[in-house]
Amino acid sequence: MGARAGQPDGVLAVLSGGQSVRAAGEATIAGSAGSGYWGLDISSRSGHFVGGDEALWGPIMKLGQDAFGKLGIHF
Amino acid sequence: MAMDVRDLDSLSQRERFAWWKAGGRLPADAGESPWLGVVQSLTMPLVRELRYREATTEQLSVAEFERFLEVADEVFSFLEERQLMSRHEVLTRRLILASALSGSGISLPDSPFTADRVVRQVIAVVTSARLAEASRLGPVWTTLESAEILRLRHLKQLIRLAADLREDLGDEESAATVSSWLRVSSVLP
Repeated sequence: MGARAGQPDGVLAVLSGGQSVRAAGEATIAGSAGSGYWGLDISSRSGHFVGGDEALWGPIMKLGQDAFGKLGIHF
Repeated sequence: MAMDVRDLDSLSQRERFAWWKAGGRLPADAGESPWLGVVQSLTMPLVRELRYREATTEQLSVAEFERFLEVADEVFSFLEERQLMSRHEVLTRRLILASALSGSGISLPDSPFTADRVVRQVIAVVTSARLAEASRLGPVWTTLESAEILRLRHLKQLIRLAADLREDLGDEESAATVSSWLRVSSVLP
């Protein structure tokens, strides 16, 4: 989940398997497979994907939280 | 000379740094997210150029590396002063650039990104109080609130990145200080 400079669109396309990108941002997770994982911080800060359009930040973050939640990682 | 962060992606690395040096900035109301895009556009290709000099397309000269690293230093200071990027994030990004510069074999002793300079900045924030708290809370981190775990994780990030630079440090006292942190780091999330 996230963009990288230089070729952000290309990187996001790889992460999404070539499909449309639904969300981008940053997540900080602690733990391991043994201990389990803790979601510490999540944001829609991606640098490129949303830019300054604050109206999109909340819905994008919710998508991220839901996606991690399906993996048992909660923020 | 304001522009959209997306426009930077179409520029070459040289053009991006020229944009900044010519006074290029985002619009005054740009927040953290677009400014993160600027930092990524300027510094991440520079890290790549330093790490993989033979395989890169732009083939920057040593003088260009020196100038561009000075610009990166300006950008980090600009954002930190305006609270558009946290001190922790700026420091971790400085460490990553310092690591890339050290590994490149390029000698720039006056650069803001020498291992010694950047690790001294880390030493300034890894205080004895912070280490004492980490020693106390590290072993029980799974019982803590997220904000406390995140604080411990940030400390671990700084220690790990500084530790990677130990062999590049000319200052033996700094190297010994960083080495002394590793025991604490081992119990952090």
